[in-house]
Amino acid sequence: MDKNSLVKKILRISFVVCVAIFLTSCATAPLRKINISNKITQNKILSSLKVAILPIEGMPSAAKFVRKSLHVNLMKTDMKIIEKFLVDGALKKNRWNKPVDFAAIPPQKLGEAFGADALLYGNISEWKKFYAIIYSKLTVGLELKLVDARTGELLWKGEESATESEGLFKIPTGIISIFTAPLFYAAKEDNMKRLARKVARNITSSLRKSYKAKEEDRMYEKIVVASAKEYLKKIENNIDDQKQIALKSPNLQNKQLIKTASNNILNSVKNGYTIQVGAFQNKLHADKLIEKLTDKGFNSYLVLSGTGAELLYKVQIYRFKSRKEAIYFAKKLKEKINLSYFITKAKAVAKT
Amino acid sequence: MKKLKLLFNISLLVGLFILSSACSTIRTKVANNFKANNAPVRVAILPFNLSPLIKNEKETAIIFRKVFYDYFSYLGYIDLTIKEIDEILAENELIYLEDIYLISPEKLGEYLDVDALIYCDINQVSNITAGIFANTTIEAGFKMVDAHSGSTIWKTRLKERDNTSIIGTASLITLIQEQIDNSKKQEAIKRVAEECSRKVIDTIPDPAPFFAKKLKLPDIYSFNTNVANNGFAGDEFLLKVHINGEIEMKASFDIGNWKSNIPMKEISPGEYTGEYLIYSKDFVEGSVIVGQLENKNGIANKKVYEKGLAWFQSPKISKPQNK
Repeated sequence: MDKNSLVKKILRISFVVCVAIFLTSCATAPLRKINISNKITQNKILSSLKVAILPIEGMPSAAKFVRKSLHVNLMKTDMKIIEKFLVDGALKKNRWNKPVDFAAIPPQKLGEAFGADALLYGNISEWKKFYAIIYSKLTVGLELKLVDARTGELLWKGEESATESEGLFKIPTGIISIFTAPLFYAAKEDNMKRLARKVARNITSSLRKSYKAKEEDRMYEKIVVASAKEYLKKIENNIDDQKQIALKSPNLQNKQLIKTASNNILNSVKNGYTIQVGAFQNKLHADKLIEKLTDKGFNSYLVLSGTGAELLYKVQIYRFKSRKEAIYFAKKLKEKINLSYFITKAKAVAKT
Repeated sequence: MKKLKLLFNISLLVGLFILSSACSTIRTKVANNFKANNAPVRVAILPFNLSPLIKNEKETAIIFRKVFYDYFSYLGYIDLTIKEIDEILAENELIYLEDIYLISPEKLGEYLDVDALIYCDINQVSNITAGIFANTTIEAGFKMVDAHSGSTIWKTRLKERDNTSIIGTASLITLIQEQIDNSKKQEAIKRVAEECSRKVIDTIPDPAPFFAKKLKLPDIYSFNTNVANNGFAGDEFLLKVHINGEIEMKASFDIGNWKSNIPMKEISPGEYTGEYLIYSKDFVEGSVIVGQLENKNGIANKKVYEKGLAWFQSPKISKPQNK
């Protein structure tokens, strides 16, 4: 080989090595940012929390896998993790389909739907593959936040992004490996999943060992998510409105409360059995009995039966899944209010 | 000829590469009559059994069971925690594996109050690190047995191997790293156990979609407290809470996240009351009162009291006025 071709060969190899070094130098250290509320580190509330892991925002196939990894890792904490099928069932029932919409729903409402004390929201911030013949890189990034479903308070927030790569800098074991290693590394889907599992494990480590939280990671200020603030404000406005109504008309306030209580019953048990305590042709008499029962603390409602001259307004109390439950309750009821009653099958109710 | 030789070398390397990486064999059988609508609801994962030929691997069985439980909990079964299972077994003097595995599934199901039991027999555990070669292997057989009939619902046998060698690894640094990782026995076993569990879980029939459709939370017909339009408390305030709902539930309430799971009593079928005395030294700021009914499967329904917020404070601090 003459001098010129040798020099050219050396230059070519050097160029490749330089490119490799440049590419590998672009690999960044994992990014991790944790904020953990004082309530967790000092009051140790994790063991009392029932947590619902919401569907993760991002690429559907990746999101499903990440959610599973988070579930498995959070099972290692003191928190009780709500069964996935419960969360998915409740989401379907309430038609809350898209993870991107969850932020707008008050956490109190979500908590009610799942029976949860806290909610874990997640977002896949990065899910990338990079391949450049002698170098390949995988990147996975996650952003999570744990929100108290009762107060809307942000209890914990985590952001983590990790990268793994394969290429020249790892000292290939043969000439062919220079090209095959990065190719296989990028092509194998398991490598991406393994990296995602690693990120899920690392990001949740501060929840497994909350007592080890660094001072700079601790949150002392109370942060309440926007949708929770609005919800609480609504309740406060409701109270003020009710105060105004009470000042204007005490009877009207009672009627509002009766209507709310009755609607609550209507929305709960659809079939089953009920206790009937009166049937009137005059609606005013039925309304008076309902008012009397409400004052005594019993939720009663009106059912229409028949038409025209045979129209009756029936006053019924509660709804039970079984006749046995209704009979038991009716006997207790009789001890408190001396009204005759009978047990009947619950039907559709009139709008009050 | 040269090109043919090069092609042959590449194929050989690729083949060795594939063979030398992690691999597993799995054989599964699901009962013909298994359907989502007759799937067991409550399941207990029994302590894992080690083959008598395996010595000094009790720790492996414990790790494996815990890892398996974490993955299993993702499926649509209501699973008892490992702690609950072990406590109930101990209460019934079933401490030794031999005793647990000899007793009938029906009896075990009765003790644990479950519909199905998961058994596991670990037949092989090995961990070798030899510089240019490292291997961790777990071989186990699983089965889910109906606790009412004793019939097998599902069974699977799996051998999971995590191999690394100088032939199969494309880079020196990766080889060294894998050798170091494999030498930490507990971590290597845990890694392989996780891989095993992941693969086994995928073979278990999952009734989650069916249960999700049939989801029923305990009914709450009404929920009342005495904080409606509450203003300021004096030195102390007795907060009273009342729930009317499904009978024989476990009832409790929260005062925001200041106090959680305050128990309530069922004073008559479906009627639950609870109270909590708040003192002047306590500071409760604009907190919702949340009532809860929970059934024996741990499925809970919560209700937020929307007619008032709890503001309890000492007379010195006043509630901020609405603007």
